[in-house]
Amino acid sequence: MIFQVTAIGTNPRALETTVESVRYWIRRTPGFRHRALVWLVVEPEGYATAPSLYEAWRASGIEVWIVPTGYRTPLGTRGKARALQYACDLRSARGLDGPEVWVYHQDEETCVGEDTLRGIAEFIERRRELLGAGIILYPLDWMPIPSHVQEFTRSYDDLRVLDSLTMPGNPTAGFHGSHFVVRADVEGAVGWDAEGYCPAEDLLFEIRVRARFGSVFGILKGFAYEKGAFTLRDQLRQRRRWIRGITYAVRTSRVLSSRRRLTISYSAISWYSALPSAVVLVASAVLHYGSLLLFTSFFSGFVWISMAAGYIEGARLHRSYMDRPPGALRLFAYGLVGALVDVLAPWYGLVTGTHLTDFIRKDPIPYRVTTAAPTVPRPTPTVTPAIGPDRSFPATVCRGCGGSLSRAERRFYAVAGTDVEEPKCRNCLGHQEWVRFAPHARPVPG
Amino acid sequence: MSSEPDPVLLELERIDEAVRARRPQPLHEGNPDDLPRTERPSDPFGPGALMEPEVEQSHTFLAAPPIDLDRTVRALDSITSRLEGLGLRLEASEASIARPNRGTGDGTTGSLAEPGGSSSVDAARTAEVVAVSHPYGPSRSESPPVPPAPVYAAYTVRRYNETIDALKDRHAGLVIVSLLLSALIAILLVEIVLRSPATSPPVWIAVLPLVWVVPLPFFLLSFRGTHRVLDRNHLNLPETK
Repeated sequence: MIFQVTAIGTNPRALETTVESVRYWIRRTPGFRHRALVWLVVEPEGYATAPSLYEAWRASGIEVWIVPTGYRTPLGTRGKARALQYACDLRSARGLDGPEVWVYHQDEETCVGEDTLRGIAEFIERRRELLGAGIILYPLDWMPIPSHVQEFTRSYDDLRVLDSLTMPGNPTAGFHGSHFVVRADVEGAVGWDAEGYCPAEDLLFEIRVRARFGSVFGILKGFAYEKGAFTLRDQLRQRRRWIRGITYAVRTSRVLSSRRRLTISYSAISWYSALPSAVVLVASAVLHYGSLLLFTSFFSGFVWISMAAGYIEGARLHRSYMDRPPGALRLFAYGLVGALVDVLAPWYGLVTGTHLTDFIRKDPIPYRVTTAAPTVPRPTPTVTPAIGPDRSFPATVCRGCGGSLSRAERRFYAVAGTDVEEPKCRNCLGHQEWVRFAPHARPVPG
Repeated sequence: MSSEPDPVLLELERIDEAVRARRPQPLHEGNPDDLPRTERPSDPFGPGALMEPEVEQSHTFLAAPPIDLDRTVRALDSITSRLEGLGLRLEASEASIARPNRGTGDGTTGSLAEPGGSSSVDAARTAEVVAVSHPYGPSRSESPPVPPAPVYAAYTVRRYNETIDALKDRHAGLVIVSLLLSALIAILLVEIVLRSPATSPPVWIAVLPLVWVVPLPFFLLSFRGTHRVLDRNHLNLPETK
């Protein structure tokens, strides 16, 4: 059993949580009797973010693999698909590509629980299907922000995905690139290689597995635990990558049957139609085009209720994993904003390009390494922190240079409370002593 | 022979008493959820913690027994982690030796190693250095790090089953309520349209409702699929094995 975390590697804090969760539960899950290896497959720039941390993992038994800059696949794929193909080649070279080996795929923020490992063990021992996918929750670093509320719908939508995935033809085109377990020989036979940059390599992989092995997909019991985008911009970029991935798969996949091509295209068109549908509804109401509203009103109720069910049931799925579940009003308001971003995303993808760097930030606090700490302390910033002692979080400044936390950082610590590790100062990494003062009582640096 | 008690033994007895007095309860072997929060493991500072000088620990032990007890537990956890890591590496080596390298045919495992020659041997060689320079680890001049939040213990089979059971319990009601509310909203909208004065749209706008219909089959399939998965009732995991 290989737990494979494939990522750029520029979010070491998220990676650390992921790796520790695997190591923790491998030791403590009753019934998980498989020999387990933990593989970290990262890009050189990710390794450069925190080399000592990666080396520490390596020393503790984690196999850290850095995709060589010069590594080329036959079709010349780039991005995550290239790293996944590299891992395939590695397994093949090490003799870990037989039918007795299973690979559990994780993103850099995919934490596992006892339930995940028991689900994996149960799936492997069942020996009925070759690939299993399950439900992902997003409770890690949860904050009451629209992009996190929007992730509730993804968890509930996973039920639809599981149904579609296990049906012949995957009629509603669902799959995700993490929290799935696949037999190593199946993955090796299909591979991840594609022409150029493939924005949604997971969809292409599912298409290929289905084309080659048929309907061999099963339900993986147990949740995986991930985190949502921290900003609406990140959410938009993430969704843009997905829609570009769908169009890439429809356009380039040679193994896609015409029927499958149709269903995937329809899924994409459904997504695209969300914005015009909203415009039609608003226009017909504002312009008093009653006949239009009469027509749409028959379906509006069902569509609205389906969407609302996604938020409500998604929130309920998350409830026992969160300290502060959102209230109804907040759920509604943030859900609207999050949904608006999702509605805009495919059109945004039409007018802008997808880049290799579209993988979003998963560390709420950016982890930065500088070669040397500045010798001259920066002057005390004059900007008053937005959150002061009268609010939930006091102003926090670095004693060394007077630097303050960014807005996103303050928000994160305001929500997370004091259970998390204090951040290092981004200005002078040498000084780690943070002092909490009221804004008017700031210390003079140095 | 003097009958005076040995001061070292006295000191040890005092330490023993202090430790016993501070020990809250015996360690649990069962569900991690039942563990007291402070006993929950996962210590990313492990390697750094191992590098703490033993002499300093023994000097400060009497002054702050609970802190040192925590340190000892962390150090033990770290040693366990290292040993298990070693076990994993051994298993990996075993697998490599058992099947020769197909890439080179020479039985080695280095053909696809990452640049910079960072093999397992190198990793082992750098382990001690790394332990000192671990970016999250404590440096010698700093105070002990704050232990990480015990987040993993929440993710257990029991909680998973409870969540799934709750969803399945609501499933039938959800279907009924969804359909009823859908019908209600439709009736309400129709009523609003019929009661409000309407203008006649241009002909080209008449095709726009088709746009509205496009995602409808997707929503219908999703609704059916979601409830079919819940109907099958096979998402639960056995609690014990």
